[in-house]
Amino acid sequence: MENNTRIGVFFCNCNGKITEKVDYEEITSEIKKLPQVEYVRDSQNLCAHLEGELICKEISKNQLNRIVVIGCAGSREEGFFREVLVKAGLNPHLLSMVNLLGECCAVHEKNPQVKVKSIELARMGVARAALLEEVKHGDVPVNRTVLVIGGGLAGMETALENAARGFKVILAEKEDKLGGRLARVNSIIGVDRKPAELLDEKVKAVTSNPAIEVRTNTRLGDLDGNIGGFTAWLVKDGTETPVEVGAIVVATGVQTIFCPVKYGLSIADNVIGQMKLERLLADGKDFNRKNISMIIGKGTEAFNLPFVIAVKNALLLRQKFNATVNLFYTNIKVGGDNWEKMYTDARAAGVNFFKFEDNIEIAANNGEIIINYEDPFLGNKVPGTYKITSDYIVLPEELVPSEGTEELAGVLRLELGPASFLSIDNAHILPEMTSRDGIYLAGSCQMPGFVNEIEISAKAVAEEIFRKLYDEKVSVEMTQPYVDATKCVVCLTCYRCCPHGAITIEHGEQYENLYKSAAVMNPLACRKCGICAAECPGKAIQLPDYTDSQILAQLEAMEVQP
Amino acid sequence: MIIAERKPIDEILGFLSQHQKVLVLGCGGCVTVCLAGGEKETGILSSELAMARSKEGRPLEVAQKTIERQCDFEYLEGIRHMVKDVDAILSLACGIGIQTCAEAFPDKFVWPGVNTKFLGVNLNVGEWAERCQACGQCVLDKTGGICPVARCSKSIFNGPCGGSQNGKCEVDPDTDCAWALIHDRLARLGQVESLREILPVKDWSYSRDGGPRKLVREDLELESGK
Amino acid sequence: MSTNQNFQPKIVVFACENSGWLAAEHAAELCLSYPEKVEMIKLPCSGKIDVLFFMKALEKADGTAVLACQKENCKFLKGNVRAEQRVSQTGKILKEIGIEEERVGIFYLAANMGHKFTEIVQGFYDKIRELGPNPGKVIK
Repeated sequence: MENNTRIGVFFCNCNGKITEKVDYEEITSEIKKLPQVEYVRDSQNLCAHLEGELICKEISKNQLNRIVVIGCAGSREEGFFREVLVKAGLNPHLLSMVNLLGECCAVHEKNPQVKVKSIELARMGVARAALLEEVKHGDVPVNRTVLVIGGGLAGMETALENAARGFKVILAEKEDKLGGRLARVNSIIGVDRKPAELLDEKVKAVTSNPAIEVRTNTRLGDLDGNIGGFTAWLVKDGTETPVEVGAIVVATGVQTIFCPVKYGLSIADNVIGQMKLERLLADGKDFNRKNISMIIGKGTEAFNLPFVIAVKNALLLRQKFNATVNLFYTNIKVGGDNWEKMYTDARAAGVNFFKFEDNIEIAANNGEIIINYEDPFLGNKVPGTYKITSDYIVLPEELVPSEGTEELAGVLRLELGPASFLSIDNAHILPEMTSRDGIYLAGSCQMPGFVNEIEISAKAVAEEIFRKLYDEKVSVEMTQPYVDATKCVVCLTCYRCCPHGAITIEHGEQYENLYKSAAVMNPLACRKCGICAAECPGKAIQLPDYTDSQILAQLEAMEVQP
Repeated sequence: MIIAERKPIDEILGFLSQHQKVLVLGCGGCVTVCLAGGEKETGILSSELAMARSKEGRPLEVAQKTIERQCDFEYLEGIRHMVKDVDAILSLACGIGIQTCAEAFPDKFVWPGVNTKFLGVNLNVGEWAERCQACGQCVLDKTGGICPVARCSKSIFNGPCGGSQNGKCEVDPDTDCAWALIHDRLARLGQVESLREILPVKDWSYSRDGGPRKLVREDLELESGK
Repeated sequence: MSTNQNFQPKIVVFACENSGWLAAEHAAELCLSYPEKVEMIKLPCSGKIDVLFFMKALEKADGTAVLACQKENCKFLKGNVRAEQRVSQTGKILKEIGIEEERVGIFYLAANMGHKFTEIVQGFYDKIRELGPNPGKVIK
């Protein structure tokens, strides 16, 4: 603690709401006895504009350097008083707010205990104030190259969006050419274009963009660093080359697995998956007046995609080929833009929807598909098994993350979420964000998604990257925890516990300990939760505004009664 | 690294029962890394002791300090003034630190606050496993970098024994059979044939069987001694 | 268990500023009352809670608790999980020195749960009142 700490206490009546329950004089007479308190003043309404100017003047006049506001502690008021401090030439973090209104006056009736509590709260606030520390801004140099992993539609779109915002982009694709899975599809829901055309256009845009470097047959092997300063090791033909990038976007998508065994069938020409059907349609196969059955159910219900694709293809077969289409479903999930309409259109167009629960048996005999099933609706009136004969049976595929997703998650230090797709950060934040700043998800790698959502997702990712890496040097308030190197034993506990991968172990002469090393929290990647500070066995880590001494001082200021 | 675990509180309270003022002394070395006796644990234990004694109605005054390492006399020298004021020291260092501390302060009670468990590795936050027994004559060159002395329950030199089941040890099904690990690793390196060599009986005189060990390197020693 | 009917425990509540702290604000907006001898200390996340904070609180108070975000909904993913582990660590410490482990607790709530906040605080207060004064308080 500095010897010249001069605390100023400003007491707000909140237009009488506070003094209705507690006595100003009683509190201030106690506060004045505390060491370092140089100035105490009260006001009817401290957050009024003119009061701000007055506080400013009083701070300068009395050379105050720690400010305690006793009144309320809402975030709006906190912002107001921080601004006042800045105007008075003080660091905005030298402010301690005591929520006398919220913790005391609004919730208790006037009684002797309220008096005791109000004094104690004030003492706690003053004790904390004495130990407050300045938090400075710092300029962090950042790399403005973006690595996009996966050269499918989502990857290409993200590369283009980032390039449009002035970033250099490295687009790494593990196959030998761009395009991903879209090349295998016949039509796209909600997009009135042929997939092949759309792909051609995107590939041309990407390859002709001078800001985008495409690397095929390339995957990410290893990763060091943090947002603004990643070193990514790209593997091509067994050799690893490092590239320096500032942000990483994962767009590795989804893969489908065709598993007819689940339905008691084996692979045959007339037993196909939805992807195979797409392929056949794109190749121009004729389904004229055929009888086609489709199934949705048995474990594919986790996502919307299989439902929407089945309804889309059912409608297409019905309209284009005048085929008889039977859609067997356990559930229909078509919540989304225009999907409900597509579903009613399919019904109106004469697609047969058959509900089943568990009991369905499918057999393939001499090129004929025989389906026996029990209908839970009709079953009440006409019990028994129903039999449908078809030319084709179309089954839904399993939707799983693309190959290598788990390894990639390990390299990126991300967790896997539901169904082993890459996990997004929690719902408080953008769905493109991961638990690590600087690493983003676009397209289906987090959950099987739709083409018409990709553009939005790519834009959101690019905007987020731009927001963080807006220039070669970005200014950040250094509110991340700081490490006392003399106490840091580089035990890695914080590194292992950080949920955001924001901690690295740095080496250098400036770290004054046996190891000449210390844990360092990256100011751009850290989200200031303080988990590391609580884990540190050497008490080397302190989170600004919530240091151990500030918290313990509040406890210390409490009265103990036997 | 040395792995230690805090002693049961009853034991510690027993040691301190005769004292009114103690210094809880943490160590910034191995015991900080293994979360047993760093500054944080020192703080928690100090608070716990104060509360326990308060509850008994015999208040205990607790001072606390964590120094760089308790296994070096110079660091202990730095707290001489603090030690003067207390009846006893409760050391949270490993057995080495506790002894060095006792040697540095011959007139003070120095009590052990931790049990020193083994030389091991940190597998995960809160999980440690033994890796070395300081036997004095390393054989890791012959065993694919996996120690049969420390990691085989029987410390046998030509394993595995008949108790190796699916890569696990018969003594504890959660323990990997060291010899299975040795075989797998040598196979991976294309060296499995080297296991045909019978390792000779180990000379345990380099280990504890030769009495307390001491290492002197005259080429490094200062003339003036310690 | 308590012999003294007039006993009023002192409680220190550590509150995550994303949930418990805001819930207390919400309770204040709704003017929901709770016992006076409950005092709060703000944390950036329940994961910032330290066993030492609990211990220091219990040197002075009769009970202490941390208010965390709902399970699986921590803004920092793991904060409330770590907080829960530290509560059980503290509980173990208390138990081994013969103090009721119920004197330390963790409660999960969201920012808009003013009613739940008072319910939690009142419930914890009542429980501690039944336990009686903390025998481990350190009076200097």
